[in-house]
Parts: sequence; C-alpha cells; structure tokens
Amino acid sequence: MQFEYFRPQSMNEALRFLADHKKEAMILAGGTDVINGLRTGKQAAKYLVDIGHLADMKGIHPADDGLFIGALAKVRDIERSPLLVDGWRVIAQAAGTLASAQIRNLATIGGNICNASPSADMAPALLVLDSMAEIAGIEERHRVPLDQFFKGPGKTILAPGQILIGFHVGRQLPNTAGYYIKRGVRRAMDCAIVGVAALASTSDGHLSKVRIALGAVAPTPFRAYKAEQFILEQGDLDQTTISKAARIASEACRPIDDVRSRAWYRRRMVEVETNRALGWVAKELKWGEG
Amino acid sequence: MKHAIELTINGKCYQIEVEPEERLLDVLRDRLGLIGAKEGCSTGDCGACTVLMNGQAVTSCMILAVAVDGADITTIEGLEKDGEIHPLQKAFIEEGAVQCGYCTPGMILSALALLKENPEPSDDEIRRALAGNLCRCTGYTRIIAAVKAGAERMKNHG
Repeated sequence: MQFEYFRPQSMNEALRFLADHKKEAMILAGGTDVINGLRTGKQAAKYLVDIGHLADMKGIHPADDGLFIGALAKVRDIERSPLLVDGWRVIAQAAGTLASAQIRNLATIGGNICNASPSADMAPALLVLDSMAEIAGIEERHRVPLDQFFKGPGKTILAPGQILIGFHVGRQLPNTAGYYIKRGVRRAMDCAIVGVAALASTSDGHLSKVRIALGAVAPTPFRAYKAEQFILEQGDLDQTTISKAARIASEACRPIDDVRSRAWYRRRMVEVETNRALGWVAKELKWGEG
Repeated sequence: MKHAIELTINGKCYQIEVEPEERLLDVLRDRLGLIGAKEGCSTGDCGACTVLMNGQAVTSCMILAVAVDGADITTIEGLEKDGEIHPLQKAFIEEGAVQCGYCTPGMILSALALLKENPEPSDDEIRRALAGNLCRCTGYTRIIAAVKAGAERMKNHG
C-alpha cells in the first residue's frame, strides 16, 4: 500500500484534482472499504484524495422536496437521526443493520453506495424511496435515479473525476411504511445473504405506492418492478397477494453461489423475506383492519 | 511524503510525522508504545484494535493516521485514573470476563462507548454494541455480565 495523500480544502479543489489525475486518484471518505482494498492489493492508487471533511457533503438536511442526505453522512448518524421517521425510517433501520458500531461510526452512506457491493445494506432502503443520487464533476452537476447508478459488482456510472455528493429523498405520503430485512449468517458484521426492503403508501384507504428492492441476489441491488406492479394491480396487501408477489420477486433475482450461501437458498430466502417485509408493512399500515 | 499531524491521546497532545499509509493503530502501537490496542484481523472484523475517537468506538486498523489529524483518542491505557483502573475494568476482572486478554481492551472500550450513551443497557443492547468485538476464549456470557456490573459500578463511582 503506497500512495500520496491529498486533502482538498473545498469541493472545487477536490474536483479539479480528480479531473487532473483521473485514473491515478482514488477517493477516501470513511475508509472502511478503501483501506482494506489498498492493503490487500485489490485496489491501487497513486493519489488518495481525502474528501472526508468537506462540509457540504455531510449530514442530513431537510430540503424543499424532502431530504438531502450528504454522501459523507456517517451510517451511525443515519441510524440515529431524528429526521428519519415515518416513511423515511427504513433508511435509519437499514443503517442499524450494517456491520458493527465501530464500522458504522466510520463508514459513510456514500461509500456504501459507491463501493457498489450487491449486498450494500443502504441500497435497498434508498431504492424503495426513489432516491436520486447527485453527482458532481468539474463543470457539471446532475441527478440520477439511484436504480440507474449501479452497473455491476463494484461498478457504478461514476466517471473518473466525478464525486457522488449525496442523495435526494422525496417527501413521502403520510401513510407510508417501509422495512428492511437483512438475512445473514450472523445478525451483525457479516454481509447480507439476502437484503429485502419493502415500502407501501396508502391514501383514502387505497394502495397508492408499492416498492420492493432486493440486495445480494443479483450483480447489483435492484427494484423488483414486476412484484410491485402485481400488488398495485391487485390493489391489496392481503396474505394471498403478498405471497404471490414474494414469489414473483424471487423469480426476478439472479443470485450466485458464494462463500455465504448457495444461489438456490438465496432465491428461496428472497421469497421468505419479501413475504415478511411486506407483511410487516401491511401490519404497520393497518391494512385489512377496516 | 511525510505529513505532520497532531493527536490528543489519553489527554496528552502529540505532534507526529506520519507516512500516508500509516494507520492509527500503527501510530499508537509502534510510535507511541501504546500496545493496549491489538492487531487481530487487520480488516475491521474482530474489534481487537478498537479505540475511542472523539468519544466513539472505532476500529483503528481501518483509519489512516494522516486522515484524523486533530482527533481526540482514548486507548485502554487512558482509563486509569490516579493509579486506579476504571470501574469497568474492575468489573471485567471480578466477573471473570478476561481469559487470554487479547480482545479485552477493545471489548472494554466498545462497552464504555455504549455506557456513556446508555448507562443502563439491556442484554440485547450490550450484545449489539459488542457485536464487532470477537472473543475466542472467555465466552460472551461473562463479558455481558461484566458490562452490567461495570454499569452499576460507574453509577456509584462516577
């Protein structure tokens, strides 16, 4: 592990440096993935650009259209944020499932997403909230729906020289409930074997929104659109609909065999956990209770 | 290229020149002789290198020293006060929560971070707070008992 360390004083300075050293530079934020990558030789960089202190990428802030979560927001702060309640609570809840207290104190939400692990715990929660990723380059800034952000394991749409600034999470309807289930070998530390986030909103007693996102069961975290569509068509969150939707979700995944689980088990668990997550959401929304 | 950094460690200010790749753990152990923090897995999984940074438990094997210029660090060596070990350390001894001792500094610092926020944690809250600290010999039951006993002692002794 050998590199030069550079700490830009502003976002502009960071972007300029990255633009000048495109493929030789790597961004350091919380460091919990980067340091391991560099030490094991899986990753290499001539320059490590430490953006960890850039104030405009930190924290969770109310915005006109909902919330802005800075890419440098610590997973621990997200877990305990008083802003992440009601429809947004699923983000805080997912944050609490990530690794250990020590790692959550260091890791950033932006790092979890940019590392683009298929099992990244923050991804399904952000996906069910239709989050937009804000990306900055030297001369441009734009927003991209998060479900277009991932390109494969470890791969994102970020071009060399670009920085993920944060996430815009829209306001949710008053009757919204979301839940993230992480199935792993252990309850803590380990990566998810399967991660499922489910979210639904009701208005005037009707289902107005359904979202299901899956982690660790395809090359990228993804939305289970067909299962969502099925529930909306049925207009119901009763057990029969939930069970069928869970089956449809499990058919949408493309899991692999690896050290944590066989593919068939992952697929089976997608069905089980989607069932549970939707069941939790239905209960929270008091669906079917008159 | 070396970088000059300043760290407050156990209340004492240190000005050190570090290489970019030196980790906080390397600085503590190899430069300052504070060998309470242990190197176990080197990948943030075992928690043996846990220290408090600005009051929060962190794995010092995953932190570049140069990136935490100005931080306030507490290691296990910093818990002693007026020649007396910390009430939580006493509880670990009395409850038999120490065997080989390798995980103990990290366990105690993770537990201390918990108790500062939550002076009366439940068993589940203790388990969750210590989930990132692995023990391979004592077993967790006595460690959890020690954290509970330590919480009591801290209430009585401040």
